[in-house]
Amino acid sequence: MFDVTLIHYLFLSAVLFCVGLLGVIVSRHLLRVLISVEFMLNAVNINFVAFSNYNDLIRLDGHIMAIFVMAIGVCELAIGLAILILVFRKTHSVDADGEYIEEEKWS
Amino acid sequence: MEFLNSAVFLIFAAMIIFSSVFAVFAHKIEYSVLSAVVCFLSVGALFLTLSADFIGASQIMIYGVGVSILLAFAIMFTGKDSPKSLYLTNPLRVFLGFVLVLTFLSVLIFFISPVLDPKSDGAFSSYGSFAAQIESIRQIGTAKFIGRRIFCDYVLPFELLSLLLLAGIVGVGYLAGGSKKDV
Amino acid sequence: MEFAADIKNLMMPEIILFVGALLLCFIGILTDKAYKRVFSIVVLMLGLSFLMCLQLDTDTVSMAFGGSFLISKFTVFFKELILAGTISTIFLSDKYIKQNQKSVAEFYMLLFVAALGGMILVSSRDFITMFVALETLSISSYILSGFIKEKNSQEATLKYLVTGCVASAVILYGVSLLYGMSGSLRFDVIFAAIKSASMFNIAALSGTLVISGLCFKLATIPFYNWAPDVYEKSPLAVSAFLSTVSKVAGFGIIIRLVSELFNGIWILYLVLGLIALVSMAIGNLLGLCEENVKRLMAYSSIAHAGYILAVLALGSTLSLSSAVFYIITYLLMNFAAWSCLEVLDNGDGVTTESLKGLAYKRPVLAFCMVSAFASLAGLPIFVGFFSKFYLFQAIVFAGFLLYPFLCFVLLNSLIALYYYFKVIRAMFDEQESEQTVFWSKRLAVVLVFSTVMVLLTGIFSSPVITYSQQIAQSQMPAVIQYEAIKGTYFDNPRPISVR
Repeated sequence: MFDVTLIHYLFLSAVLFCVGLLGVIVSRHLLRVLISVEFMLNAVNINFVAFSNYNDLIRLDGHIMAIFVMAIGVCELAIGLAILILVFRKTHSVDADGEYIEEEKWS
Repeated sequence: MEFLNSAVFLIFAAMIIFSSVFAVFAHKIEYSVLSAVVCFLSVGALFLTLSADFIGASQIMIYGVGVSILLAFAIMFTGKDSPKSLYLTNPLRVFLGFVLVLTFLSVLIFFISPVLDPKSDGAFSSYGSFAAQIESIRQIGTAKFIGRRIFCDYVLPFELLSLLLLAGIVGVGYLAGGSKKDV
Repeated sequence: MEFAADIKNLMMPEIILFVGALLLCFIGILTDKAYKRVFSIVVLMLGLSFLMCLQLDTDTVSMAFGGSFLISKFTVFFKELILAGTISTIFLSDKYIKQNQKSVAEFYMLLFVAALGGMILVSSRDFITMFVALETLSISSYILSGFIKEKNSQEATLKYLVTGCVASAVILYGVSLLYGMSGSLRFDVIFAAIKSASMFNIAALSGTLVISGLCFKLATIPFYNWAPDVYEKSPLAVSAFLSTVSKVAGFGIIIRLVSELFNGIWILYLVLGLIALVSMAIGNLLGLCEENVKRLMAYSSIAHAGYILAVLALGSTLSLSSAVFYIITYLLMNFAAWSCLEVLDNGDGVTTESLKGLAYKRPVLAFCMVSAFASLAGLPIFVGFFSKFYLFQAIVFAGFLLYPFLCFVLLNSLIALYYYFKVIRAMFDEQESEQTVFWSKRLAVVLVFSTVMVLLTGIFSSPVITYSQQIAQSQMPAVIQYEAIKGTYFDNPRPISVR
């Protein structure tokens, strides 16, 4: 087959990043939007770890950055879910387009 | 061995791409969350192939376990969703999103592919006299070195991160918790 | 014990805020009734931190934590601005606090954490510290913007959060490419790598990604759409905080990145100019048909951020000093305007409709409001005129090729006149509408102080201009401690003492 090099990881992460971006733009479900953001952060992590493996196994800066990105990404996700649940309590909808006004009466 | 490497990479790359695309375009949110978890786990496996054992383990524990439970709880809370299924936004926005993202992807690939070709440049640092550390990383893993780096050089962001998490806890506790008015 | 010495010499302002945030967290857990005493503690701590900033030795550039924390005249100046803005926000939040006495400690704690994040952001010197500080600022802002539980402010908060997450992912993608080509996350090492290797393309791409991600903090293109909703729905003090302190921190890090890291990458200056032009146009055009004054302030702040970025795109010492002067005056004008709005806000927001007849009923308040809005519009004798004038001067001196650019900026300030005048004209309308006003001593302090400062700096602007020139000159040579690229930037390199 072929030799797996840095460039393959970079392509993979670029594709994953773009899928995440696409998900943020096109989804209507807020939960799916938050998941797509996590895809973007994971793509960035792949980049960092791949660069660290191929260029910088001495200082391991990429690994450390990946840890920080993970911690902060999960923190953002948790806050996002908390706010999502608050929105759901108010409007009984998790629609990113905000079409819930007629349902407010219904609840 | 080379065959094995590339086969492992291909399998996990395919899993990542398919599961992420499926997560974005699945009709039901449950499927979407499930395939997102598959994607997170395969990213963790990919980290393991990049000699990043600590990061891979953290990824599997944090994303594969923690985040999936978090997402499952979120589905439980919002499960009785509105009658209509929430899938994609209006077609114009979807179209524009596709155009934007494809442009962005082609720009990224255009910029990445020539410059970072490993044969074409010598800007990257060579390992030189650090052969011993590289060897010990290959043998005992990266956790020791990461710990040393974090607690020597990156103390400031680490401490700031602790304050950030505290602020997050306090804030979410305030936002999502019951109001204090009843007390 | 290098760290102990670093902390004692260089980091006292941050340490005070850190301790203050922890203290407020404990107060919030222990008691709900500390409303009166907490205020004095908070103001004391911020004032102490401000004093500590003033006594820092800024004549030499010094670093802490192995070079990841930079103390120079420029960074300390931005820290002072952030602290001053936070103190004003705390005075401004008096009404909100009186209405929500139970959550006062949490509110102040999040403000402290946000200010701390901003302060570390402007003086960070590697991307890990920068990213964590940026997220500290952002996450506490997300929570603060959703602090009113009764109104439907949560959708705006969620929009803010998602936009912020996307912006930080974009920043991180750029950072990862920079890391890949230099093997390090330190600004100086990356700068050296960009210089030595022929990595112009990838540096331009990643620089564009990083700068456009940071534009989320400034609420400019491409991440501007959260601003009007969030400014409208969040507590007014938080809107003031977002439009001033958070923007100041964003400008601080963008100026430092452009001058220290991406120096010499001309594409980036084009990108900055483009961002500036588009966000100016969008802010002003969307502001034209807006009736809600809080949303109007959001559009106005988008446009003002555009002006500052436009002048930053020139990349000379003169333009940097005019940007610094603009930032100072922007802070003053905005606090004057926001404190007037806070006095007038009755919970449903302020519209131009509800301002009618204000000039006859409450002339003093109307005077403050007129001076703030005329200053934002850039009319003579008010300080906004001098900052705009100085900005145009910087563009004119940059060469005749930029005259179309100048015309565009001028055209935009003319368009902006319309909506500021809409607000002012409504106050002089004959038919009067009911206004309920809210006065308190603390609110009056910040209102009077900022209005007086707007008037005073309008009349005596030269010391402030001289000061901002000093700040700009101190940034330009300290920029970079390596070799010169262009002669003008590096006439006078300073020695760096690494502590």
